Amino acid sequence: MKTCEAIAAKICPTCGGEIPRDISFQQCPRCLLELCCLPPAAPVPEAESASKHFIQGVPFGDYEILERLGHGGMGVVYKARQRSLDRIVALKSVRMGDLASPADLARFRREAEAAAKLDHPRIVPIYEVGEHEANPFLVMRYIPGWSLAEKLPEFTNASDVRAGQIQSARILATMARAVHYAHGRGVLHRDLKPSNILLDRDLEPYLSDFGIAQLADQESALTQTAELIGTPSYMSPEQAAGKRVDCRADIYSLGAILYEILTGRPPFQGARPVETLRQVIHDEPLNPRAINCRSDPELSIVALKCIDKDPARRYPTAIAFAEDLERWLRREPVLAHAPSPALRARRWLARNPLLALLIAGLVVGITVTSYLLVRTQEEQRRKSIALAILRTESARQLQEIWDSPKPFFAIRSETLAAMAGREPVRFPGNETRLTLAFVVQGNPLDRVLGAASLLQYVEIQMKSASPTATRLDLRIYKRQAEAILDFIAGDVDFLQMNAREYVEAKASHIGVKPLLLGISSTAADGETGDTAVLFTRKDSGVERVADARGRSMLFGREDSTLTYWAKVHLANAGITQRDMGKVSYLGDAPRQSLSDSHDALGNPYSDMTPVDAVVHGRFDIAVVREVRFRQVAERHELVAIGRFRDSGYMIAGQPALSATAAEKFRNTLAQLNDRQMLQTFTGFPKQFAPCSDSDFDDVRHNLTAAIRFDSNETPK
Amino acid sequence: MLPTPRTSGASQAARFGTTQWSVVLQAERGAEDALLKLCQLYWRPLYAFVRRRGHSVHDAQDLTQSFFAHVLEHDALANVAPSKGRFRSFLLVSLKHYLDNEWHRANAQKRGGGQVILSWDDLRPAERDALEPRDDSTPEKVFNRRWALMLLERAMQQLETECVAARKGELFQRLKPHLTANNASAPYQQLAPELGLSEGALKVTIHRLRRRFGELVRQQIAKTVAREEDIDDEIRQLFAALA
Repeated sequence: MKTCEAIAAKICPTCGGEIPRDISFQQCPRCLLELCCLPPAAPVPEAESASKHFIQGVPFGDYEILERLGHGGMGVVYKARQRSLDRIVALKSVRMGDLASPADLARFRREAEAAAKLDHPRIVPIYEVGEHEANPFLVMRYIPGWSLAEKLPEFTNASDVRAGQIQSARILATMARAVHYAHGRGVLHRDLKPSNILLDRDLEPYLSDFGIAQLADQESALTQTAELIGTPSYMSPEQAAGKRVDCRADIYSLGAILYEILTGRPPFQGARPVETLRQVIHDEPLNPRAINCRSDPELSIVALKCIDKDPARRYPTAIAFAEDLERWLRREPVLAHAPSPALRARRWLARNPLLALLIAGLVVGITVTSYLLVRTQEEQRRKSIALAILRTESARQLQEIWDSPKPFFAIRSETLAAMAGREPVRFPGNETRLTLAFVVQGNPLDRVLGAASLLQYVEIQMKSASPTATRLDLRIYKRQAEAILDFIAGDVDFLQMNAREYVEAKASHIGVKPLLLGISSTAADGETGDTAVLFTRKDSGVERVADARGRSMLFGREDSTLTYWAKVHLANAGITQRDMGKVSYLGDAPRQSLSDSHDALGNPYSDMTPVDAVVHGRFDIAVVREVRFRQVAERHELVAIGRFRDSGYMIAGQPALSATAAEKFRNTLAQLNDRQMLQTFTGFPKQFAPCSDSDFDDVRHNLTAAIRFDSNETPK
Repeated sequence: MLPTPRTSGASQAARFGTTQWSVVLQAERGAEDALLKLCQLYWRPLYAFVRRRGHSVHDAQDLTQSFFAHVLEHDALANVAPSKGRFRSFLLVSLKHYLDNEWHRANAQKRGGGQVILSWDDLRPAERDALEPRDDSTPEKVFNRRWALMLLERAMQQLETECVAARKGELFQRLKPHLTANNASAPYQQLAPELGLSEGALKVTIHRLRRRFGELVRQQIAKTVAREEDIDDEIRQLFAALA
């Protein structure tokens, strides 16, 4: 029995109920439980803003406020005197929201302490993190001068354009190095913007507010007016979307600042912060030169590289960015490239097809020749629009052609020039027209745009070698059979075909001249990208090729050399098609429409399709390039049962071609090592090498084996 | 869309089905550890229930302990479909079943494998008293009431830990009694200068503590329900149990 005294039960003043004695917290449990049901953003009764506690002349702790300097996203900044050391400091009161728990405050303190440990001549040091009136405050070095935000218009509109840009580049390079130092210590800034870059009286820059700006009360930030808080114009898309960020988010912000210096406005700026956020996530930025034609072209590209939506395409580190700026300052070429015409066009088209058609309605009758005659800035702008329309028109026509029964789509050299963003060169004297053809199975637009750059490049090279000019036209075919027929008929001069097709054409006495072979670049361990493997699951019971009897197999495309060599392999092990179980080829699936690209480059064959098929048990054996196999084998428990070199594809020419034209074409392509141009043209990381008939002997000799597989003959 | 999304831990946990209870519900085997953890946390209300049923202190201890062993060894989950949503109800119903069916066993022997260690000796005298039955309530009421009190106590402890970690331990001790006081009657004017704060700052601090406490309670409840929608209902039931 209880021995405690009989004390009158306590009554809760709030709810009137009895407060039990058998609890450790001595409060009314009902009222406590009610705290779970507080409405989401109940306003704090008579909450006062933290800044009211900082009154000029009234000292608190070690500090005395001298004057108010201004306000930023985090809170108000004051000039203060630290009494113990008798020095002038900057004191920033931090506004933490009403929802801040003790844990939040502790986190802010930890971040501020981490930032305070940064010791770099270009980072504003934090001397102390304190708390006053339930809100934190920071004490930092006082730097008399301006913020970059105040000085920025002077750099953009400097009368000496180059001097302004040089100074800006210097400032940003210095800041990038400071940012890199902080990244090395594990501190991200997360809120880089012109107001966080301070300039002293000599215009030397300093970085401020590392890592903590976004821990302050950001929740109510968006609901306040845009003047009180900064706009999210410098925020990276991943941050705007609420995802985790890494150092590349800071690089984005630096790029956005550079962009603003070049053009006078940040890359994205909406009427309201919410609109800006939407643009940051979804819209592609304009090239700075489109906004301010005095923007240095290389600095523009550097800025664009920083603000790429894909962090992987930005500079990997802040120091890489600093180094490129320093290259520019030394008048050396920068490493950043402009996105390829294909990429630009694709992004533009993806963004606003409707807008493009609207513009097409306004600007009537643009022909290729008329847009060439532009001179003034206004005409320049109209020219860019016309170019975009041309691309949209081509895309539209491509769509129409592709949906119609016509076997190919022809594009003249002049149109290709426009697509490549160039003016077609005027050739004096005679000119010859030659046609290159290849087959496209997915969305042809990307391949066409890629081919446009490449063919234009080849045209220029060929011009320099001969008195007569050659124009290269393009035909894209839906099926190889049609392409070969037109090649035989003489309508096509250069045709891309695979090794087997070449051998069979030759064997059928079709006139065909081998010019170039596509070879894969060599991987680090000496294996070339041309090697392929026959593979299966570890637990499938197939250990060697000979075990493939009765098993199901997925080949590559029916007409590909990958399939060809796989069959040769099987035939040499004594297996024919009849011996196998279910046999299928890639591309057997129903034909997809133009709008379903297989991948970004329009490649119909994805390396992962055979891997998926085997992993999920749809087929026992499949064939894939070794490069891909190595990436996935361990993870998916796959083993290789056979290995061979794939032949790849080649470019053949009409035997009737003039020797010089053929030679020049061949040499130009063989010497081309611009990977990006090659990849968008061919879809694979290949290079071209000159070739002759004997390079195809191996294919030729094994033709009988492949035929054996198909016709179920067994060797004698 | 905001840089630091602030969904509370409670709703996040419930939404993604990673509550301890939903782990138990969803797992067919291998959930013993999760179940064991839950048992070790929540045995007190069960013991109170068993005591209210009329068993002696010693018997109640044995029965509670062997009940958990029973839950772990047998597929107790299969028998309580209707209350599968809430751990609290599941425990209560299972316990009732167990007592009704097993109570005839005179010898509540511990079985091998599945021994659950419950910390009787850690109870302070006041706590032990607290688990003793009161005269005017049914065992179920006792169970639910103890459950609610346990949640509140735990949330209070967590809040204290957080405040101490944020170097605000003393502040917490001073403000703790005022967590539930409504603003009109709280002595802010007196208290503020004692703590070195202005009145406004004091109100802000107390407000923040209250919110955080509420969040902690919700998080705990979320651990014991399978769906977010159940949290509010569970709160209502607990509220009724405290009346």
